[in-house]
Amino acid sequence: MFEFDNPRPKPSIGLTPLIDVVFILLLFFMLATNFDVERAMYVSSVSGAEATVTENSIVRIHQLDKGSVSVDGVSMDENTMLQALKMRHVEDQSLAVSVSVAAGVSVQSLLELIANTKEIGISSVSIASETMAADQ
Amino acid sequence: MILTTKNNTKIGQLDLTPLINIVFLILIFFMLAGSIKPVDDIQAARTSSGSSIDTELLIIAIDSDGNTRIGKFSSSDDELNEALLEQKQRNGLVGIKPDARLPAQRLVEISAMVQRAGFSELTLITRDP
Repeated sequence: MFEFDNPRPKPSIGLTPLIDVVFILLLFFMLATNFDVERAMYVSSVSGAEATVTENSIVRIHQLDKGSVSVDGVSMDENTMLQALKMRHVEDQSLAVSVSVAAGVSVQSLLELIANTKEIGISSVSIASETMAADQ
Repeated sequence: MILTTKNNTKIGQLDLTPLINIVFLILIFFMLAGSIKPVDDIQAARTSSGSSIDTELLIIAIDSDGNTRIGKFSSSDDELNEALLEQKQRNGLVGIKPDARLPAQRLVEISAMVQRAGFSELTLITRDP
């Protein structure tokens, strides 16, 4: 077989600029990417849906602080309230919940309470306009 | 004399191919799995329940100072009322995206405004924990 004595050297492609660009792209996407997914939580607007359920089926919860609530003037922690609410919901499927908040409660705490209430199966949750802060 | 391996890599020289492969895979993951973060100073509350947003909503954003805005534009309470009435005429729905640090009473005020405009239901926009 015929062969050259001095074969031409293979042309080599420098990968360094490619790696530089890829690293820059990687950094950009790592810093600018957002994995947060927005969720929708449906609630009845203030006392709007309360007319559709009987007065006895409405539980009025007043959120005093994060993890602390008052139901009919009785203060308790949120977990105890949720357990009681779950048992009552088993007996009465039309149970509706109206949530009001004390001064100083953050949106995060209120929405956590609403989400927890919805998680136990109560679909009708409304935000009450009266703050009742003066009563507590 | 230069010693070479089977792959013609000189001894003492790093083979960068596996590194480039992995970097490309990570790059493709970030490009496909994520979305570019919009400039938004509102940190929506994180909740474990909720469904996906699938309808056209008039989204009222409330920042941590209680200021409202519709889309990118700040709006006073009067402007908000007008926008709500227009949305009601279109039979549209309303969503509120409050900042998690906001006092909840401001959210209650805006909810009351939505109810006064004739909406019986509203959507609270949160994000995954």
